Amino acid sequence: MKPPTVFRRALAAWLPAGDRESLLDELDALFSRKSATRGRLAADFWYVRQTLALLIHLWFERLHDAVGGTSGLRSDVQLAFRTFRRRPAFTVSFVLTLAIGTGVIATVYTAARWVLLRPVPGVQRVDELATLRLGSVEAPPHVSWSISHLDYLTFRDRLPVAGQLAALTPVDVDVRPDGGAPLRVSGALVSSNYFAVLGVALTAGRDFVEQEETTAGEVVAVVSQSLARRISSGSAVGTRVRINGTPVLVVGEAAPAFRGAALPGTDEIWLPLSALHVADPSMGADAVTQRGDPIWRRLVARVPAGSSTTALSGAANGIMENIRAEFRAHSFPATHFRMQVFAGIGLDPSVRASVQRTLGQLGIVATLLLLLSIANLANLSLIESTRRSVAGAVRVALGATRARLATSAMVEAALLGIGGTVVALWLAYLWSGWYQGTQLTEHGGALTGMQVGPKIAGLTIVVAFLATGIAFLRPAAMVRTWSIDRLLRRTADGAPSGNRLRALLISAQVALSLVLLVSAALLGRTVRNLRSIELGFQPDRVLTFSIDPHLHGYESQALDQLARRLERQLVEDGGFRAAGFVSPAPLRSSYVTTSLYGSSDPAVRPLIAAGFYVSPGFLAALGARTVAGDSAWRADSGTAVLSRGALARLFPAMSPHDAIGMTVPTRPKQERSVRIAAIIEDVSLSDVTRETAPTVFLPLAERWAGLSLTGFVDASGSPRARTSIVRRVMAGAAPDIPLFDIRSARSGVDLQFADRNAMARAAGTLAVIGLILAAIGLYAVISAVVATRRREIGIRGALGAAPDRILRRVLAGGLVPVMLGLPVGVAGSILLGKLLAPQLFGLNSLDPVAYGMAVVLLIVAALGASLLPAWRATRISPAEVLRDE
Amino acid sequence: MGDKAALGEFEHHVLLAALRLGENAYTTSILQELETRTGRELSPAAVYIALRRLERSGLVRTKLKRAVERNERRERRYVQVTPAGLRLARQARQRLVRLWEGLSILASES
Repeated sequence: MKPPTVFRRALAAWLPAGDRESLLDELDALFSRKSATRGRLAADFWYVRQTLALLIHLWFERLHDAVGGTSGLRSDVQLAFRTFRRRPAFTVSFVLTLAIGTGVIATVYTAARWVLLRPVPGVQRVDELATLRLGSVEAPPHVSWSISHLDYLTFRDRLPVAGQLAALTPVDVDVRPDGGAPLRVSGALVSSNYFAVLGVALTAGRDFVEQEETTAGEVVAVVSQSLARRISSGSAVGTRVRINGTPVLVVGEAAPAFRGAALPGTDEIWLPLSALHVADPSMGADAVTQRGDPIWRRLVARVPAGSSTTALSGAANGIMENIRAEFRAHSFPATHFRMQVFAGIGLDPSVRASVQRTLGQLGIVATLLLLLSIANLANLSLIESTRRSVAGAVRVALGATRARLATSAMVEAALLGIGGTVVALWLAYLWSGWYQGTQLTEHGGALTGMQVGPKIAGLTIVVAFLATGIAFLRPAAMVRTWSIDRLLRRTADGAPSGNRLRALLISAQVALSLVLLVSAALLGRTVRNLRSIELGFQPDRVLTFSIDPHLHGYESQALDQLARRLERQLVEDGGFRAAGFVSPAPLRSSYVTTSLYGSSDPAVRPLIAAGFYVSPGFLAALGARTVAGDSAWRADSGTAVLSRGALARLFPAMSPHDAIGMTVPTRPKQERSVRIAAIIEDVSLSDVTRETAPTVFLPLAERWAGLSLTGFVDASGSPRARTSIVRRVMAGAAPDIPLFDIRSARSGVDLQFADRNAMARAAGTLAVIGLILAAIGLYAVISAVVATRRREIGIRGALGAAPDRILRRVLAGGLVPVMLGLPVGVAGSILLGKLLAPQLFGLNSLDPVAYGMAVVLLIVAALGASLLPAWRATRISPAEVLRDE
Repeated sequence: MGDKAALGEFEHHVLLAALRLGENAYTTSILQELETRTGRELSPAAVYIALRRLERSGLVRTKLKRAVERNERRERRYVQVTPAGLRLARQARQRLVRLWEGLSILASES
């Protein structure tokens, strides 16, 4: 039996001649023996391992010998540093260009790893876990539903995962340590086996027991290490805190890195099912025992070896069908519901696809910049190598071997690579900090806590050295051509070398730069179009913040009174022009609907409007313009305010003034109605990218339970000043209720197109960097050309050529590769534009303004980069040149 | 490496195996000798690399010689331990013996 041919040949090529035959024979004999005893496959693997071990050793041996051992290496390093000191411009340009191209890749990979690829910290054997949720093929990916506790237990008993099925629901709670200020904390309601299924260790105390799923008693919680440090000076186990006003005993602290089963992890507190009423006061005491009451948002299973997500999905949907058949009440009333199964845990499945798309596009743009950097590096090293060809030829003539010169150049390249890597890592660290907290989609994928880790460092080293290696390929090949004969011949006829390759590299840089500029222009114009959508109010003049009074028992009338009191205090104590509250939170792409019946005819479909429950001051704080009716509407019970668009759809022929006072049913049998108190101009409080939805505003007192309140204040001045005023007033008026999500309404609107924002920011930055790199490359090449043609230019000047003619000639020479690169860049932009097309808004991927802007910017940059060396060419003194002759 | 440097554990084993095998020491025979005596499966690449290091340090010398086996004639690189190698092996043994002295509790394990 023969060993794998490719590997045998590789060994034959690299083994020393004296050992080749004997060692190969011995390995062949051993291979035959292994095949007979262990089988062919095992023998093949064994042979490959032997080959790799031998090759790696032989390569290192040769490298060590080539650099002349340790002493030879030392002298090469000293020579390299002397060169760097003598050529600072080349050194700095090379290192920075390498660092920028590599650093961008490292940053994008850091982001991808942080939200997509890294294992969830603190969890054991993540690859054995799977996430299950109740979704629908008819609903957007981010929409999912919850299942009841009894249905979860049925899944736990019947799913083929040996009972290793945990359940969780994300919750946000107000935590008040003893004597401390209230904190808004993210966490989860979890089943008793949550920590066991995930394999998360606790550093102190205990996790939950099964009795704590159903037995009412003292409410307990497990906290993260970071929350433990904030609520207690020592161990938090045994500490009591108030959660939504209810005393809770901390019984455990999770492992230091564990922050929940999601990425990026933000959970800091975990509550058992018996704390359901604490986490959500709107849930009744019997919710746990009602099969129709949804509680659990996600299930996490530890899947046995050999099982697949497809099989698990089939089993889960089969169980769902059985539940539908066996029980009257259950969690799956809609026929389009499906149990969806996703491999692993981490990034929420609902946002995974869009985060992957955004990061994929960022990766493409970053790769383009890396290629541009490599082209720039190749140009720089080519110019430098040409410049050194004289000295190199003289050294060869004096006895230095070309191998020695090549080794010396390799050491210099390695040191530049090391320098570039170090700076690249620093840039990746810096840029990761700049993009900290950036949200990649509206519904998740925030780059919170993003860090550059050891794997990123490894990738950076590999990319930097690959880029350096590619950049030095041609110069390394040129060392072979260094000879005194060639030098003398070239000096005689003055022909420069390497011009064609340099021009080609410039064209490549121009093309890549144009692609980056066009994509940045398309995305930038998209964001601009999105931000200039008429919303019916001024988002830059409105500050929003959120509170959760329902967690503290405020509902209906009590909630309404609280909201009125708070808005009064914000105006009187805070000095805001107007303040108000609304629920549910506006400025999200999804919204709650209210039906309005314009006709008693059952055949006529009702108007489905976006419904918002508001306090009296809300519309004034929003800056909504009243068209008809009471501009000082007091949000009295039984009344409503409609948008102009809602009225037009409800009663197309009716004028706004005629609608005032009309009563419109909100139920099909007219058991409930509202009286129209006012009509306002259309405002867009939901998905701003779609047509403005008809909107109805109802009194806050009529809102159903369980939703947070969003406060709006209308003010001018610095956002920071406004924020601190809001904090001060709210701390005085409602000290037990913490604020969260304080931001301008503009930020809230921008969040709806967070992915496009992130892409536009990144693409814009990379496009500017790419343009600078291309300009540097062009400048370096034209400078080199002017230097090598100095004699020609001087002679032309001596013969009477005017300076402006010399200027035009040099400029034309520099712009030719630019013009050649432009059509290639346009073609590349069209291709990338197709990829970006779904992200664009208000323009298509062939937008002439974007292309025009990019081309003009590029030509201006190219002209600017060419002007200085061209001007220097006009300053060449003919007298000096002739004297040198 | 050299007289003043210490032998790595594996290189020490390779040296001892080569001494045992005498004139019949080459990569495969050393490998088999080590596997038999240590009870561990070893890699011929590791043995070859160790022999190269020992040769570059002057502790062994190697020579291509024709081997006659089952009527086949093939060349093999045979290994011979140099006086420096022998000296280093003896020093390594003396160090080990001195370290082992008095450790009866470990020596009695079967």
